[in-house]
Amino acid sequence: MKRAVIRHTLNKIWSLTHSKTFNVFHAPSFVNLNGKVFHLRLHSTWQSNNGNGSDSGSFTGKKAKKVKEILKAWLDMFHSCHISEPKQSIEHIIAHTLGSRSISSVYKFNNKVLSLREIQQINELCQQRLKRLPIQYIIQEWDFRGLTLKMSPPVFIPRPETEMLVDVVLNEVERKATDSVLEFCCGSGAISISLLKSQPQLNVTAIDKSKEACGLTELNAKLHDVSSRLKVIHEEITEDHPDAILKKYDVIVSNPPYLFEDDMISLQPEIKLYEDLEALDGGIDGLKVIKNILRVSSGLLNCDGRVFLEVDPRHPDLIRSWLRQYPAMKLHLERVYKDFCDKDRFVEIVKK
Amino acid sequence: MLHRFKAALKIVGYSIRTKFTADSSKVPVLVETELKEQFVRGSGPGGQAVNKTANCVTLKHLPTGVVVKCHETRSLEENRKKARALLVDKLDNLVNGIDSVEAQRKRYEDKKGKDKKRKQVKLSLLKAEWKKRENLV
Ligand SMILES: C[S@@+](CC[C@H](N)C(=O)[O-])C[C@H]1O[C@@H](n2cnc3c(N)ncnc32)[C@H](O)[C@@H]1O
Repeated sequence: MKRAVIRHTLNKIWSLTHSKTFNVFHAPSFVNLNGKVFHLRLHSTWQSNNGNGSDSGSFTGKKAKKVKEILKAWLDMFHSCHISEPKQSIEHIIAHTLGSRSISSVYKFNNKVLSLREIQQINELCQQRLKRLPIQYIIQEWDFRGLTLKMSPPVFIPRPETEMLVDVVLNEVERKATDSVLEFCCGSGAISISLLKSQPQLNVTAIDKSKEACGLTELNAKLHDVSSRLKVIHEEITEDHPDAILKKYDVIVSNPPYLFEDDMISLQPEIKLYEDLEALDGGIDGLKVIKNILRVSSGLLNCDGRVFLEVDPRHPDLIRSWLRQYPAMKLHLERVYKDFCDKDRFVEIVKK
Repeated sequence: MLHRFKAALKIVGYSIRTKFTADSSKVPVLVETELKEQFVRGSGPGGQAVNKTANCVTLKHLPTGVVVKCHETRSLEENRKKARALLVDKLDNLVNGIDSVEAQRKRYEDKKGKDKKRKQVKLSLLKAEWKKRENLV
């Protein structure tokens, strides 16, 4: 019974925090449901501006002006609204507002008195977090290996597992001494740009079916000064040879959508609401796009060339047996790599 | 993978602030198999199905039991490298004591501070003498 009430309340808050007009500072009464009060209102020291209420959300109280105080106030708020990673959320928002990439700066400047503008910015960003917008979109950037990349919804936010895929591919690029790599499904450009940064001689062609992804890859390439060595192609990978690719490769890499359709339902709201689901959805067996990539790669790889894919841990076996069914493609799964959590995460497939 | 981490250690481990180069011949070298690494990301599906910002790395040196933590950057890979650098520093201090790179650097900086002070004192003395000579006081 109690559980059901809580669930109901949460759902209600959930839908409220998602309506466009929702504003915690304008509508504190929303949270009194079934006699249960949810503290959507911050500290009593938080109040609407000069009593005219026009600029709600900005902070004018006398006390909570220091970094540590605003941190505490929003931390409590995130906790009571069941925001995931409450601590990291407010830490990253404050660090970003202070112009730093490192959350340790938040504690270094614990006693710093914030300006009104800074406080206003923190409040605005925190309200976005209440709507479950991922932190990476809120601060509009994230780090991948040593690089800071621009992030913008709905382009897929790079995951840390993929940082290891780059290591695996770099090894192969060095071993083969190849001067060109092809990437399918480039998203924000994380993989391609990392490769280009590590290998000054390399040229990369990157393909994505999303216009936003292509645009973001181009922007990130520009910011990291590798545009001249990166060609971005806006095209969807199907069973057929992509028109725009005219040469063959020794190394192809991809982190394609690989989630099983059934697993999509239970994704965090951050992902489900804001990230491009086309970047994640691999169909019934998670192999929908992977199969197309393999079909196409078979025609695009030189003999002894390799394609490196990030996959679901259930995939290596499925891919191995699928490739056996189609010997004409001349592709063999040669090696499986584990990620840092010891899960089978990357496959190396060679063209014989 | 391993050699990349080692290469990174060289850069991260000994930040070069001055012309001073510490003798690092005694600095311990990490053996990956002697390390136990843990991540907040831990269990669960991982990969595309998870979007988390926490990427704290806990690294334990099994032979000594020394533990370090790093969540300094927003990239897990960078945190792994930094954790290794931190661990090397910590082991170096533990094993080599006064011969550790940190101790060497501290001695150098203390000495530099003293030298600087001595020079300053000397300079102000010379200045005073000069003023006296030229009847400027
Ligand atoms: C999981 S994201 C990977 C992004 C980036 N490489 C990374 O690792 O962060 C997958 C990307 O594949 C793109 N995509 C999905 N299906 C595709 C298809 N059939 N052809 C081309 N791109 C596709 C999506 O737009 C998305 O940007």
